[in-house]
Amino acid sequence: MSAPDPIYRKLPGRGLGWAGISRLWIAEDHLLEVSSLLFHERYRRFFLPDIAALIVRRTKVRLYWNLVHGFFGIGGALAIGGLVYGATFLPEEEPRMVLYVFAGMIAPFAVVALILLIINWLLGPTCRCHIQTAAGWHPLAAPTRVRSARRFLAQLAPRIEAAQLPPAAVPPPLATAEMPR
Amino acid sequence: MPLGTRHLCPTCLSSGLTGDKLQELVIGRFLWADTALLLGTVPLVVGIFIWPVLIISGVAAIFCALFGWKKPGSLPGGQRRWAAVIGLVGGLLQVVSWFVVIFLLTNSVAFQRAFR
Repeated sequence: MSAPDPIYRKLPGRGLGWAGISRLWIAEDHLLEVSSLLFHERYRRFFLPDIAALIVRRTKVRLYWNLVHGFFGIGGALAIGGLVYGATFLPEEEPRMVLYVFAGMIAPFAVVALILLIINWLLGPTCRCHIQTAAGWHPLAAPTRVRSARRFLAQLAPRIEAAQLPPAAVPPPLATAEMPR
Repeated sequence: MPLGTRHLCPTCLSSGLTGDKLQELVIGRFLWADTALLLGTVPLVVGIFIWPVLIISGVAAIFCALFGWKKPGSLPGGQRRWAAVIGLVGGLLQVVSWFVVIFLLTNSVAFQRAFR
C-alpha cells in the first residue's frame, strides 16, 4: 500500500448506548468512532477535511437520571427509616425482625442508587455532539458530558483547522513549449 | 483514486478489498482475544455454579485464542495478545479441572462401591 496504517490517539469522553460503549480516536487525517458491544467493534470515520462543523448541545439526560436514582435512593432510604422506626413500636420480636429484614433487603439497592446519584451529579451536565459534513448531520455516540466535550473540542478543533488550511501557494508551472528557432 | 485523504492506484484499492483489508475499508471487527479472555476467566470465577459448562467454555476459549491469534485485532487498540494468552491459560485450566473432577468422581470410594 502507498501509505502506512494510521496511528490512533484516544480522545476524551465516552458514551453508552444501544450500540455499546463508544469512544473516539483521532488519526492523522480522520476521526474514528468505535462502538464496542461485547466482542464486536463497529467503526465510523470522519475525515478531517470533510468536517464542516462540530456542534455540542446540552441535554437533560443528567436530570432524568438524577430523578431516577434519587427516587430509588432517597425513597429507599425513607422506606428503611420508616421500617426501622416502625419496628420500635412493635412489642413482639418476630414482626420486628420481619421489618428489619425488609429494611436490610432494601438497603443495598438504596445505597447503590445513592452512589449512582452522586457519581452522575459529579460528572456534570450531559450533552450530545454532532458532526456536520457534506453528507449530512451525524450524531456522535461520545462524548456525553459537557466537561469531556470541551476537552474533546480543544483537542480536535486545531487538528481540523490544520487539515483544512488552503494548500500552500504553488508557483505556476514553467512553460515547456519549445521556442521556434 | 482518492480514499479518505490517501490516493491509491486501482490495483492497490482492489487488493485492499480482499484479504488483509485497507484500514479505511474496515467497518467492524470481531475481537477474538477479548472473547478468549472472557470465556477463559469468567467461568473460572463462577465455575462452582456452572461446572458442567466448563468443558464447553474451556474448549471455546482455547479455540478463540488459537484461531484469532493471527487475526487482526481492534483497529485503534491493535492485537491484544496478552488477552489471548490469559484466555488460553484459563481455557486450559477449565478443561484440566473438568477432567480432574471426573477422575476424582470415578475413583471415589462411593463410586467404586456403587458399581462394584
